[in-house]
Amino acid sequence: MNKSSLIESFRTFSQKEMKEFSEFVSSPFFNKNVNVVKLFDLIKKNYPEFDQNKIEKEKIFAKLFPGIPFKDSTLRLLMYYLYELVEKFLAYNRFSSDKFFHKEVLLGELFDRKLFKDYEKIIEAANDELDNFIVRDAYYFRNRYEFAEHKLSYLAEIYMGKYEKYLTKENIQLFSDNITYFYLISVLKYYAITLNTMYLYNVKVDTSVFDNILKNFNINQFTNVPMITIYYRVIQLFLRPDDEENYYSLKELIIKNEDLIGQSIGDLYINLENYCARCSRKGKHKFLQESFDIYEMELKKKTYSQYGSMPNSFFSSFVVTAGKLKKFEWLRKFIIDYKDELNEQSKEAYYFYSMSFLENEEGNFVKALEYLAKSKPEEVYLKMDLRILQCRIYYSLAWNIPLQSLLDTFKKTVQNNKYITDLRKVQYYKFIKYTNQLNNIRYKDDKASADVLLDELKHDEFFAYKIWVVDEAEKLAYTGGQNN
Amino acid sequence: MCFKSTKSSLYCFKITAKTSMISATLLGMLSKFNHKEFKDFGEFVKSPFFNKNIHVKQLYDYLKKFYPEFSDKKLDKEVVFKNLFVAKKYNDGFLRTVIYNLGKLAEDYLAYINFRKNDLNRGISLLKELNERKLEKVFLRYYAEIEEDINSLKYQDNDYFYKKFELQNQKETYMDWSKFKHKDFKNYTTNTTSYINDELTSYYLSKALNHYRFMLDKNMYEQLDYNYDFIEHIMEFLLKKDKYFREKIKIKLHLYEVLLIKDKKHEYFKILKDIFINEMKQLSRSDLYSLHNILQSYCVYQNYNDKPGYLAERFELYRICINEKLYSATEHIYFDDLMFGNIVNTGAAVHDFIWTENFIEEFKNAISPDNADVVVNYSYARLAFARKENEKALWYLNSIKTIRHIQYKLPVRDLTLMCYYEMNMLSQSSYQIDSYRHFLTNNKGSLSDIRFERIMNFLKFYTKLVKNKEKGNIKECIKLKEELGSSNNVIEKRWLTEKIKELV
Repeated sequence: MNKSSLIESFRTFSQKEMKEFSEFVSSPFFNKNVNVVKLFDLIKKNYPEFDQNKIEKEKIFAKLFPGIPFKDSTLRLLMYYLYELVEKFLAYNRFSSDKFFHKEVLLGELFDRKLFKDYEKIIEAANDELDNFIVRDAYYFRNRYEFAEHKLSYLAEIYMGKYEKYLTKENIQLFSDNITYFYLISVLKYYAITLNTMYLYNVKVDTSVFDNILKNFNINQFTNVPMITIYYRVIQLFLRPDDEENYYSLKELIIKNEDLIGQSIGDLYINLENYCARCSRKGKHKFLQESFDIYEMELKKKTYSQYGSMPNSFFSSFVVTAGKLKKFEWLRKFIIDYKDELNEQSKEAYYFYSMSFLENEEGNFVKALEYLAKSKPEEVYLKMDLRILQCRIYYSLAWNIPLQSLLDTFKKTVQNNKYITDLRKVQYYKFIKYTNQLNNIRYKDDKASADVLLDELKHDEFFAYKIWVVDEAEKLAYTGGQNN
Repeated sequence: MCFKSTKSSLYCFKITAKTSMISATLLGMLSKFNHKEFKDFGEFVKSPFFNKNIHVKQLYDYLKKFYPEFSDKKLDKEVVFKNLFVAKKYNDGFLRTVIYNLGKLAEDYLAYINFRKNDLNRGISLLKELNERKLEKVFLRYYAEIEEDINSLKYQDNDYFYKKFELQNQKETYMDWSKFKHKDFKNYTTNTTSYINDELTSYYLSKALNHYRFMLDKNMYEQLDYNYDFIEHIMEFLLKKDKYFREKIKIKLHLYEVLLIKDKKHEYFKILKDIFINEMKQLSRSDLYSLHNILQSYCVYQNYNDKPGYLAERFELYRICINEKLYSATEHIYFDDLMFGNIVNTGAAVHDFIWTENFIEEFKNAISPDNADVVVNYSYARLAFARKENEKALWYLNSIKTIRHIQYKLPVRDLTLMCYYEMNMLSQSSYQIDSYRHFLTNNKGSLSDIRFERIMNFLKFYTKLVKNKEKGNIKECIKLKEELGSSNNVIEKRWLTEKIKELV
């Protein structure tokens, strides 16, 4: 029973929900089967642990039907009925928690029954609630036009044929403007997600339709709806990556309209973070501090939370940024204070990686290796980050031969992985190539080669940990390979 | 009588209070419940999940006795109170709270049964909840089921696109939270976001174009000085750059409807007529109903512009419309009374009298009882007039008892005037013209400018026709014939032309 969908569902219930469900099961409107009520009462006693031993089918059956021999099919049927009720309960909860959806559905029924007085009352109530809404996101605009449309249908019904009575500018505007605002906010948002996905996962998605829609799109028509301008500017972060002014305008817009944005604020900050990261990778060093400022702002406002936890990418990027900026004390406190906010399944991997990263930055290489050994990531990019860190530690410890084999393995891993974007692959190859060269120069004690390497690095574009490679090459050029 | 002294005022209040029934809104709502629903509602009220207030249950049980009429004296508030709360002093505020709570429950019940009726709404709500609770196994099972349900929807309309959008949205959310579980993102379907935008754009286009079409069709576009820049921009995109969305039947339909209404080109009429005949099965009844009206309006427009062949087009469209039972906007309501008259007019105009007579006979009982009198009598009158049975036509017109809608007040007057002329009742004509003008002046606001002009033109030419008939001045008749020939927006132009020709 422990692994059934029924128990799995109950595990997600809060105490309050368990109580409500108990009332739900006892409601004649939903259930008249007393055995189902009894079954739930028995299961309920084991909430929240649902100890396998206590909810064994045979034990439950014996309590339900004392003196009757165990019959699996009977219990399975009762469990099925109870699970059906769970589904009804979940669906009803979702339905009733969205007050606008609830009203919309009610309007459908009132319209069919021609209960127009009540119909009008519900529309007015919905519009009053919407007037008091602060957030102006897709959800808001969708409800605005939905209720405007309901009002038009209602007026059309009561003023049949007399269009001039109800087709007023206000009624039309309510529908037309709001459906367009809803559409634009939603479509721009998903377009931005698509562009981000294309960048991150090395995939090509046909975006020509949306490119075309946006080609002659006049953003100035929508200055009254900040969310449209905001998402438009997010898209420009990808389409016009060198336009720094666009970035700063977007940042200002987001901060200025924080109240209107609502739940999407987290996604918008991620877009700012990603832009900063892309700029840093290109060698625009000022964006490292800019990144840190954005992360700090998110931390302060607690806008980073996704599905109840701190996203791994947020945590690791913050660690790397703070490390690169040498804010060691701050970083140690951050890792310890926030590690428990990470997703349970990847918490350990990120925590140990971060500690290793910090120890390495502080020069405690052995300690860094100890932490690194404990990190067992599943995510592809964390795996790559871990390899880079391992290479850097080996280099710092002057473990020349192990470093060489590590770099070889690393190269093969990158070559074989089809989910890493070409752009990222190039960056990893460069890190491998230059680290290999650093290792050789140091081994051969060849100052001239170090100068050549430095010159080559100077003319090459940015790649992962270029700053570290340049620093190490400079040390070799200065000491002539004697730094070990 | 009751405001002379405080005492009597109080007494009056008491009387009022004694005779006040409990909330008409609540009773009105409950009276619209059928027997099964009323019983079902009883269980709803008695369900601890929805209600734990014993008094609300008691009120339901009490009201049950008076269902469905709810017109008994025992529904007086004080009587209800006395029955519910024996030996307690009447407390209006308390009773009102109990009534309000039962009313709220009735609303919740209606909302729930509507929610329950729609499997897709319920399925998507459940999917959202499973997704939020990260119940992956069940989520994936339901996702596939709901996707299948959506794909099997009969029409690919707004609702279909929106449901698909919502479903893809859930998929995106699922992928977002589950990706950390999948080694190297192997299960990440990158196209989800573009599918979302595809469904969303289809939803928006079909809905926004439909609304735009509606506005244009009702001639409200120019009068309201409303900014349609964005939708115009979208239309330009659809026509010049897009091939994908334009081929989706619902978008194609509304796009060409808008174009036909705006540009009035025959090529758009042909495309739409082709949709109407060949792609009928892919469109909902209300879409086909609107499309048919738009096609008819275009034919009417071309008729007024003296373009040949459109009367036959109208007749053909009406015959299809009848075969496909598209004579009402939604199912189970009456035959559209305006369409009924127009079908008869068209059938009579193409001289297919037998078909027209059969049509009236077959469908006269499908007209709303409120309007049947005027519609049926007018139709017989029109047919008789076309058959040159003028006396019979006038008899039918005189048999009309009341005309509720302005849409029928006008053609009845027009036809009456034509009958008078044919029967040489010229003095009656002049009285009728005066009364007609007066009526039009008073009702100008209810008519579009173009329609108003059309009728005024008819009256102008009719008046001149009568005068010429009386005077017999051929020169004037020739002048009138030329004047009518060069005027487009004239109702009953064919008849007027024929009559002037007779005089010449």
